[in-house]
Amino acid sequence: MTGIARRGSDYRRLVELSETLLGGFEQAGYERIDPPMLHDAAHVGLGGQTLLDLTYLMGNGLALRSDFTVPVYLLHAERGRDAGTPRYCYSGPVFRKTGPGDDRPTEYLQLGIEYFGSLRREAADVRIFANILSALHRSGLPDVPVLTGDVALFHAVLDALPMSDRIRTRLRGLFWRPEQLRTQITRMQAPIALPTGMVEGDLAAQLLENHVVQGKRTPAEVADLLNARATDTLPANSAQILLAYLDISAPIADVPDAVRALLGDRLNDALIRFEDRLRELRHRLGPETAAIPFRADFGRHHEYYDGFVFEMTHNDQVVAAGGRYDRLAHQVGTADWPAIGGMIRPQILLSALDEVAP
Amino acid sequence: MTALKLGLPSKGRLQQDAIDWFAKAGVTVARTGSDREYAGQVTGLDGMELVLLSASEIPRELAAGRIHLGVTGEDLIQEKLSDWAAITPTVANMGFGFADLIIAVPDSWADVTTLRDLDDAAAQFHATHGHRLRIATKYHNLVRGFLSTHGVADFEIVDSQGATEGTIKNQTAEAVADITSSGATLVANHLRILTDGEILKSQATLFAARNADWSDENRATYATLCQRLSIAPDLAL
Repeated sequence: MTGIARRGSDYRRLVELSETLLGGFEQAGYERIDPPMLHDAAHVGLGGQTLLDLTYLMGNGLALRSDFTVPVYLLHAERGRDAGTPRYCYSGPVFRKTGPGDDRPTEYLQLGIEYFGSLRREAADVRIFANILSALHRSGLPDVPVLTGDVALFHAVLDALPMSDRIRTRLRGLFWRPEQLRTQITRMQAPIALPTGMVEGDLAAQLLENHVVQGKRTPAEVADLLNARATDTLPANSAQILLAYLDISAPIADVPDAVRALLGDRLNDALIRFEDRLRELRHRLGPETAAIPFRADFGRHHEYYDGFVFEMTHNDQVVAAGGRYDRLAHQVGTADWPAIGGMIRPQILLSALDEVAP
Repeated sequence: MTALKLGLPSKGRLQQDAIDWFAKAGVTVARTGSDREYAGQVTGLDGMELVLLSASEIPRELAAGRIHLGVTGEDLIQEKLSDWAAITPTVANMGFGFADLIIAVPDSWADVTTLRDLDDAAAQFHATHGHRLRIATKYHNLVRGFLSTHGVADFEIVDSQGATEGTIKNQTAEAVADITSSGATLVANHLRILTDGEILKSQATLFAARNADWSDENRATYATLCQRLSIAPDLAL
């Protein structure tokens, strides 16, 4: 991908495209804001390993934004919980470290919208999704491949299946790495024997006796993990259903039936919400939305997502994406706070438009 | 006309071994003046000039093309240069300066022998301590790339430019990724290498700089050097 155009006709086109998109969002009721480029580094990890690895830490407790979600959230949080259900739009550069062999840009533009506080979550999901999609359409990109997922549905599947809390928490955390997740589901079905030389009983005492202990991770923690892996296993039936669930890749309207086929009516609450969202989609964007692709293991690698997620691509490049992140507030402050957002990458959009109508 | 510039480490064992290695090809590399002076000369091969540099600066000087040839470890080249294979082709592995970049954990972590175990422990550590498991290293890029390729997450790289093994005892890190030749330092510090924790096997290597000014004279000097070393010159330079 090319860097940000900073002069000449490409720059003017980028500015015009950005202003057109932002203008459209403002007309649709989004308040335009300008989040700071630097934010508290303590919040960097919220996006998970992917964003953490990509974020420039400035060494003075500040981080250079690698994404707008957290800075927009922090700006919004200053207004407090009585702020109602505000919607914001924004545009600006984000910065991402690149490692060896990686020719992705270290600076690029994101332009997006966020919607806070609406308890009608499924309607809000669809509103953001529809606003992003129609912004792409209006800019001149009529047919853009879409992929959707639902992190909350995965959580509901985990909650419905018999397993220990330890395993459930571990599998939740692995959702962002589908390959690891599948490997661990398989691995956790069998107990892992204690290392040679260790016997059942007070494992921490054995560690203290046989090793020099140092560092912050205590023998008790080591013993806990050894014990858990030796005794706590994932029931085979749960594992089988989980793997089958993760393999679901179907038109979004077929998902409830596919999940019911695996779990019966154990997931009714989550599926009723899913079906509400399907109805909202049909109502707002038409019956053809039934065919939107859905993949059960799709979560966009940003760990703050915990609900509906979506991505629009052009020639395998992400041109727009977004998702729900109610629990971000929970991790920064006290309780969940309904939140969903989506963003467009104007530079990718511009090059896509050039390919569609040169 | 500028001469063919050869960058050598400015001090230490690596420098002496490199000097011995070139001597076998009849190229005598010697420091001029006192031991503290960072200048040197080459005899036995016309048109070559010596530049003494810190071993960690040699990758950058090669990438910029300010030297034509340079001796440094593969570890430093791969850590510091993104597309090292394209811009600093290998002329010869020199057969010394062997060092492995490895990941090690406290020996008392009986539950962690593989990278997958490390991933388990990292998740547990994050949940227990409220921050990510820290890995001390100066090889940020290599370690991050290796761990993400092998499905380890929930860690944080903390910078350590020396005495890395001590970071665990000092509780500034939980694990380390460092260079080892015999493993003796690790054992002395009660650390253990993960069975699949080898990131890179490195040795001292003569690299060429694709971006340097390869005049006809320099090419000729380079060809002569290669001939004496019995290696095929990379003609794409």
